[in-house]
Amino acid sequence: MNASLLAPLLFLAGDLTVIALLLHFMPTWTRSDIVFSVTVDPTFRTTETGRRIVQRYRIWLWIHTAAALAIAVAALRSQRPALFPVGVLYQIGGGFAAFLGARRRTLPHAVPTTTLRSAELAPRTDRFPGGLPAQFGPFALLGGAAAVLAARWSAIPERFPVHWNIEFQPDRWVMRSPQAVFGPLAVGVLVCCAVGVMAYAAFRLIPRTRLQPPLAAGEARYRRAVAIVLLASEYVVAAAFAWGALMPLRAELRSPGWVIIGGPLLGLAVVVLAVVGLVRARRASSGTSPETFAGGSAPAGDRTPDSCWKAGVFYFNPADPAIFLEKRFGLGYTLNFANLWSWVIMVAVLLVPLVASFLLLR
Amino acid sequence: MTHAPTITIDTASPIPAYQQIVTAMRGVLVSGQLEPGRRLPTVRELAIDLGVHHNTVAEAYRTLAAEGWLDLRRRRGATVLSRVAPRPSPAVATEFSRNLRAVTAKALADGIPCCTVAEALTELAQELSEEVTP
Repeated sequence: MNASLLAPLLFLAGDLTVIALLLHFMPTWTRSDIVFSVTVDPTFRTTETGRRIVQRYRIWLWIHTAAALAIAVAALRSQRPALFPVGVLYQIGGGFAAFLGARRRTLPHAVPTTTLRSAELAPRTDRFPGGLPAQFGPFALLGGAAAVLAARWSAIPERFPVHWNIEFQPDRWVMRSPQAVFGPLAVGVLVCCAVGVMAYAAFRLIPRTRLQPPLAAGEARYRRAVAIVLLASEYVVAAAFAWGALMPLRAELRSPGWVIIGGPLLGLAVVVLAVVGLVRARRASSGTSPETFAGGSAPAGDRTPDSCWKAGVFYFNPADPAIFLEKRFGLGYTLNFANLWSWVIMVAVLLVPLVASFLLLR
Repeated sequence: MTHAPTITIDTASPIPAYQQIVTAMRGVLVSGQLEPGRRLPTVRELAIDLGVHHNTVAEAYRTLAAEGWLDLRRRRGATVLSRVAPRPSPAVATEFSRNLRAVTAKALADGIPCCTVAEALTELAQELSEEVTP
């Protein structure tokens, strides 16, 4: 076995385990009245049938994870690291198949979704976490990096590495030019803009589905937690791009083995923190336990029809003006794919930074 | 802390959504739960919460503005106005009477006892008189 491929394999195994753990606990992190994207009675998950469905889902999930790991090990043994992504793709596909199976078994226990929609006759007054000043932070980081690079232009080597192979050796170099030096920062600005706009739009435009005081407070808290996670991700992105742009100034980082190791670990820590924050916000008061529905004051479900959730994860409802919605399986929000604006947002968030990366970093 | 009044519509009802919004909001306005000067959610916010097209909410707001309940200003949203009830025309009085009879007849036809209907009407009249004369 090639020893240099051991580290990537360990990272891959770690990634697969983290994904599996997230998917393992996901059924208990979603609302108690929505199980595998199906609207059910809030007590269903605690019944014998509900427990058996979740248990079976988890067994299949771990079987697929083990198979994905086997694919990764086989790729390593055959000296074909390019096959590593196949393992990841297999796990995602397998996890989705386990979800669809569980959903199929849950569907016979669905309860009718309410057709009643309520709204508070008051303007939305909740403020985006940190307000406008918090939004300046990521751009200040990127601007600061640009200022340092401009001030120390002569200290930047004429030729510097921009890519490293799986064995931590530089394999792509560029000549010093404004595009090569400031390109990463420009991409960072675009990514931060896209995430910032999306975070603000989601915060302002997410439907308020619960109006009763304890549940409404829980929903508001969750909305805030999602906004904070998105804001934090802006800071992480800005820091990563600023750090990357400053690399040519630091000779000792020409073979950044510790970065390749530390980067994913830092990413993992950020993901864990985000998940813990979101789960706590949901658990505390947003109805992941049947007790929060005591008294039967709130109708079961999120007031969206089950039939509009294609394969349980894609919301497609032309009659609903909502762009963002709370995910039925998972944390955070998803888009209403029947709304034209959802596609505009998708293009802005995914395509613009990708095209900019291609144009500025090639 | 006082909570803002809420309205509910049924997206499966044969009654047009804009009409349901107008009826529900008019009920809230008549009851005095929304005092003059109070701001209402924007058309987009209310449309998203109710799951209807924003033109539907805009139409409902326009209807209520035409009745003198709301002040609609561009970029400032809708604000509740102080409204003095107009003197009802004979046509309005006749329509009210006809509608009330139709509702009562439907209730009786559906099996609601005559005394329950009478009690409900008396209770409603009492509630209204309390709200009108504080």
